[in-house]
Amino acid sequence: MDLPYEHAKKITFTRRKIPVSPEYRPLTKIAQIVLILSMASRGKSANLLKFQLFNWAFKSRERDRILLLIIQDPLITPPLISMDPSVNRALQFAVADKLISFSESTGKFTLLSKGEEFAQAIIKETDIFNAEKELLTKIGLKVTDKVISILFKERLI
Amino acid sequence: MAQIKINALKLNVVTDHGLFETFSTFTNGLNIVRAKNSTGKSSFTNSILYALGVEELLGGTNGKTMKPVLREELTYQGNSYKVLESNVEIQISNNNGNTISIRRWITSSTREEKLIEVEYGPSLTEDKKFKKQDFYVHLPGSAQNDAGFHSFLAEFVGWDLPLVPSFEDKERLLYIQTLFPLFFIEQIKGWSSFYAQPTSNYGIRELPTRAIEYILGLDILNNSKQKEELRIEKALISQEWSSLINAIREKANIIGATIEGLSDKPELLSNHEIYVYDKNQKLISLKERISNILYEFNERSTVVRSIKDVEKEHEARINNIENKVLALQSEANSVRQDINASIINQNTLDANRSQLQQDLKSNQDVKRLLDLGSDKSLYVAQGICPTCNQKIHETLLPQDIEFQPMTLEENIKYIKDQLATLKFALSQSANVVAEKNKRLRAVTEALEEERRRLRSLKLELREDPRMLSNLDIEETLNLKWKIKELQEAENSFEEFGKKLDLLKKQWEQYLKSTKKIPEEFFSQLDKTKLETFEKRFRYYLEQFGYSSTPLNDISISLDKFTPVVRGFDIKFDSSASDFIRLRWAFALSLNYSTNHYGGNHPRLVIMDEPGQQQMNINSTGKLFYSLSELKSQSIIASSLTLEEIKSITQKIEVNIIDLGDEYIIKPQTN
Repeated sequence: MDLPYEHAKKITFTRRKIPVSPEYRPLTKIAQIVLILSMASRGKSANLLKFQLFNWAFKSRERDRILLLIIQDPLITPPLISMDPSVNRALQFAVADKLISFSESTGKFTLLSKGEEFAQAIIKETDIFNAEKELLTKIGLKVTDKVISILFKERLI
Repeated sequence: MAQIKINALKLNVVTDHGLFETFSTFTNGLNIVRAKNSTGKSSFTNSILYALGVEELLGGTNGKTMKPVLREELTYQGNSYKVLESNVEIQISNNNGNTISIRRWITSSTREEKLIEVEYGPSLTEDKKFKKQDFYVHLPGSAQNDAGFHSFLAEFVGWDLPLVPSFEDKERLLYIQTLFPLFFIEQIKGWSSFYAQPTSNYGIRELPTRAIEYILGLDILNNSKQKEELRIEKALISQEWSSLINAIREKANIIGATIEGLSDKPELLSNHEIYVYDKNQKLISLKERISNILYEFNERSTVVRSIKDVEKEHEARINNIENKVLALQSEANSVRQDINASIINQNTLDANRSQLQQDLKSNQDVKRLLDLGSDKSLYVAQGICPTCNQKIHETLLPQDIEFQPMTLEENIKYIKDQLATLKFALSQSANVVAEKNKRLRAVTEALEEERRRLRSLKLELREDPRMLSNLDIEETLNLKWKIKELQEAENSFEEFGKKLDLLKKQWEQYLKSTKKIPEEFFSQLDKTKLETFEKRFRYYLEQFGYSSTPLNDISISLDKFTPVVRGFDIKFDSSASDFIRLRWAFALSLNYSTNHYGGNHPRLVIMDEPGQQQMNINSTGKLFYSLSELKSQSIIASSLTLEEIKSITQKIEVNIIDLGDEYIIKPQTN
């Protein structure tokens, strides 16, 4: 497009604010984290890989089915599970906000009482995070540490 | 004109030791009821409210609002007597000189508290009997039914109570109880505000404002009613208009016509035109098309030709039509392609829309989370880093990269804007597809017809040349049918046009009526009333010795009709005793306005103990003076000594009712 630049005395640029996908809002990820711990984790604790696995699964409804297959046999058709740095940042925020704690010795994140309250509050609301809640209810405690270690070990070879 | 005049009041208490009573008559001017503190002075004034069934001002309904001395135990000169039965009798007159006596029981083993007995005559001041009738209060319908006391009382007083906006959808009656706080100032709540609301607001929006408006008799109540009626009329016309438009569109679709200049909402200057495709697939007006076909029909209908006659013509036509069919085919194809492209475009838009709707939902979910998180006092929910207490931007992307994300609210608005744009694009695209479909229909119909004609032409050339040409006859008949169809449609369009013109006239009428409603909120008379009200209010304040704020700073607010100081609540700027002066001036000015410019004030002022907050006795004197000047009835209960009252009412006309220093309800003396 030809613009009459030669006539312009001054050109100003204004920085516009940029829209952000809701899944990159800190609270979305934090809510997912407390829900995973509250609804689908033994002893309300889990390691980083489990969060990454669910974060990957939450991104599309079709992955629900794949995740269910993985639980039955972690060795079959291993999909490409993306590692999302935003999960790590959300975990850091959640730890700092005292929703969860991190143990250096076990490498696991554990739900604290404030986090449990937050999770229960979200569960009580019947019209938000329904997809997540549905998947987590279906999976229950079946994503065990064993499943995760097999799944990710196989991927590393 | 509304008026309540109280002629006499009588309290009767039957005890186990005989009958006790108190009886007073009142003049039409200033009446001062004097009694010592706690000798039943308030029981006396409050019994007026009870007798009129408006005891809700005292914070309840029925007998329990009255003091125990009237219900349980009466103490007189140190002795206690058990109350067996008690009632209150009041005699009132209205502007037409009619007088009634009202009797209501406070406690009784036989009479219901909800029943009020009305005697049609002055039975308290004259020793005669009159016709009696029972009414009820505090039951559903008591404000509107014939047997309801309040509908009777409102009519007697001369109040035509308006319907006012309520918190629900429908309007409500401005109940009679809601007016009393403006001229009856009772001792407990009455002195603390300009409008001491009864126990409930009766579901009425802005109750005090509506009550003051009515007492002042402002036209705006009327105006707002008219506006409401016009609003309904507008809705009706618009609805009819749009259903008519739909009917026209449907009819147009049947004959494959296109309409231009038809607006969806009522419009005075709207002028529509109907177009159809002619045989060359050009858009022409319906009238023109009809006259074209008629011309063609008339040309050929006169003679019926045989095949031999049309042979040459047929051959030429076959060549012609073959070309035309080819052209039409390619046109149909290109229109089809256009439609397909539009539909694909539409599907993309639709997919975008559902994606955006999902985004909106997710964003709204996050908004809910934010509220939940704030409840649990999460730092992140407040946009603060929990570790370093710095502000963070609301994303999980690296915090140190240079960009400004939208806040959640901005993001939601952004998506909503996008959705609105998409919605518009979708409706436009639907219009385009519909128009193109019409064109396609016209083209394919023409194509089929030409092909059929081609077949018939070829067929006929092989027939016996002496036979009549079928095709010629068929074409003539078809033309006739087409003419009929189009003429019928034209007739319907004309009918619709007439209806539309009628609606336009109604719409014009509606627009004229809206112009008639005063542009300004207040009518000229309203303005005069409010100006007088304000002037008089200041005048009274000056008289009463108000000193908390300069009088020039005080005005009457035009939205609530209560006094303000430079736009702020006057209560905060006034000392306690000055607030009492404000209350006096407010009550008197309301009355004054009705006396001079008309209104619905009953021209009665009742005050229980105006000498609140260690009021200066000279100020009280001024109040009495102003009341006696007012040309209205006033009944003032006071606990000043008789000497004090006499000293401040020397020069004015007054009826002093001294109830003595003993308890005011005394044993009956024959």
